[in-house]
Amino acid sequence: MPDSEALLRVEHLSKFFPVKKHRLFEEQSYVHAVEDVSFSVNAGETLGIVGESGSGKSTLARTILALTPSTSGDVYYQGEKITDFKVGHAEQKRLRSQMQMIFQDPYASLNPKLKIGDAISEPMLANGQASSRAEAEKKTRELLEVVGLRPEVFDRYPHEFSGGQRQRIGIVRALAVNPKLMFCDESVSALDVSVQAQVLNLFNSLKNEFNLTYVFIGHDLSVVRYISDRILVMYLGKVMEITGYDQLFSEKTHPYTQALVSAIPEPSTAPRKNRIILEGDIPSAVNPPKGCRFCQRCFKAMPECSEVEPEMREVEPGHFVRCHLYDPKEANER
Amino acid sequence: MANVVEFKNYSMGFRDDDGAVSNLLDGISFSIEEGKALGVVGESGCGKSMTSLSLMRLLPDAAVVQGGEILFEGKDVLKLSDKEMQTIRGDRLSMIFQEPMTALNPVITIGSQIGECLVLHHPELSKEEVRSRVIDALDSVGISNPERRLDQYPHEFSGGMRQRVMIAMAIINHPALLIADEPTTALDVTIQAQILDIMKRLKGESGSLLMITHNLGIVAEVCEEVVVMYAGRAIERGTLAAIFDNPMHPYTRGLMASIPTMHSDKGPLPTIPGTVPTVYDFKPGCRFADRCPHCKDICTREAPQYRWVGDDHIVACWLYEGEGDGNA
Repeated sequence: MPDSEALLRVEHLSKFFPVKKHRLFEEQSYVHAVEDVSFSVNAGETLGIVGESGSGKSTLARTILALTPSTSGDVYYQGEKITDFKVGHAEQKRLRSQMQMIFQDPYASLNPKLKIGDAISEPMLANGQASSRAEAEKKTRELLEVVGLRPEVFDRYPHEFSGGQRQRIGIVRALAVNPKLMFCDESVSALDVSVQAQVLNLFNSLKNEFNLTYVFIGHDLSVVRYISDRILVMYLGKVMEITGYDQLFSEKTHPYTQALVSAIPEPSTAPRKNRIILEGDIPSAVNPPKGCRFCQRCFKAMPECSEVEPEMREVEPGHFVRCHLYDPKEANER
Repeated sequence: MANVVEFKNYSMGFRDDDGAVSNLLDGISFSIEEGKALGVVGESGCGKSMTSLSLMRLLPDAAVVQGGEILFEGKDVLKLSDKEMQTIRGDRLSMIFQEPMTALNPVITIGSQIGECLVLHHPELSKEEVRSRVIDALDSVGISNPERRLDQYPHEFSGGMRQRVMIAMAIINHPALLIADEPTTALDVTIQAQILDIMKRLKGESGSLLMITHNLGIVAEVCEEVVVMYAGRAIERGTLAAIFDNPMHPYTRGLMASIPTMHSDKGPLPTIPGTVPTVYDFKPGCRFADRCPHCKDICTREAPQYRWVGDDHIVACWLYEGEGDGNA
């Protein structure tokens, strides 16, 4: 996988949260939020990350951006090691402006007492994208127009806007510092269907206009598939599959991915293929199952699945799956 | 077949602090036949939840009924006394809410919470009978080991399991109509598939279903008939096939086109410009007029009438004026 042009490369990244002890001589246990995750993002592509709640997709983004310290593993940006942003102060500032995040809740991510214009110009001034207030204001007004808002909103407050408009403001604020890599964490989940389509189109047009690279995190596979070039499927903190968006229906996908695809109710009257309905809930990440993380709910589980953790394997060019089903037939030695 | 519920030209609105009333639901009419499932779809603020709360008579204090009738098993629920309503609610008519986390009392075992519904409407039942009926209900929503789980508290259940408990509570008296208001919005897709599976099964066994949702996929999965709501009006209604295969209203068409599906192309998604209006910016005429690609002069002046455009398909849009045969 490792190629020189990868914009972001994550190697064996893990994040464990300690669980509060209730007794003095209790063994310390951990929530395995993100465990041994490796992937890379090439410049100009959109990588989608899907998973159910508790699969560690948000923690993964936060760990990469050093919003929470990692437990182990490394993160490389443009070939340089930036794990936990343990780099010089100037370099840290550069990274903060080149990697931006757009959050899920457009209501909670804007300061209600700050004018829209100030909320957007502030990071520009702090990061040196504008040298004066006047310049920042000019740039902000231009950006507001790019995302389809009138420049006059500069002097208005967040409560005057709808959810879709606020999300656009969040996007402008992230764009203000000339980012290269954007992390969109469930950025369209809180929006209505008709507005969601508008914002998805906006993401795609901004990508071309500003040469952006996206890491798009979501729980809705049909939305993530639509916007992504490649998709990474997470379950209980582990990567189960990395695949091109057009390989999602391939026969060689992970059983969990098959279940996710099958679980989506399609808005059509076409007869449904036999649906896969998984039993039970996602297990606790404190004591993840031995062997494959998915073995307890898997409809294709074999005896070895609950014993041995499968390795990530390339089943087709560019398509990696962590499942014993795709082990080479003559597994000679283990 | 007999109708379980019939909304006849029902309108309601909200009174603000100055006493002025603004209209939200305007002339809602639809009915649900015995044993059928009807889906009400629309975006936030379109009044779909107010429709179900009107039927349950659980409207907030500021709400004002402005006319029409809501017939439930032949009786107008708007005219019933509070006491009469209490005998129906939870017995013949019950509801599942969106948030299974907040709908359960954290300090009472789920067995007593489910049993309470039963005892309130059937005080003659013995303790043993109540217990065994609760166990049956839990079993029918797929909770394994119900004898043991009965004595557990809500915090011992996951989100999907709590929603199952809510369903068990709603169906314990075998209601004639079950209202489900966004029952799976707070749940993960794989859990959502489990819950939808249960609801499809129950629909056949016990009475009718009114499904309120913003997700067209869920409607396609569970319902036979559909009402599409926009800004307080039922702009289109018909059978599932009529609405999904041949949507007529520009809003329904726009909505269907703007949803990315597992088979969508990568090109730009068709969108509906603008945003959903709130109660305070409704204008005369069609409420969709300022976002509509086919808006004509008359659309901004007069609200369109309901027109039959097929055997089982009604639409309120000036585009189809002259077709069909007048009021529905």
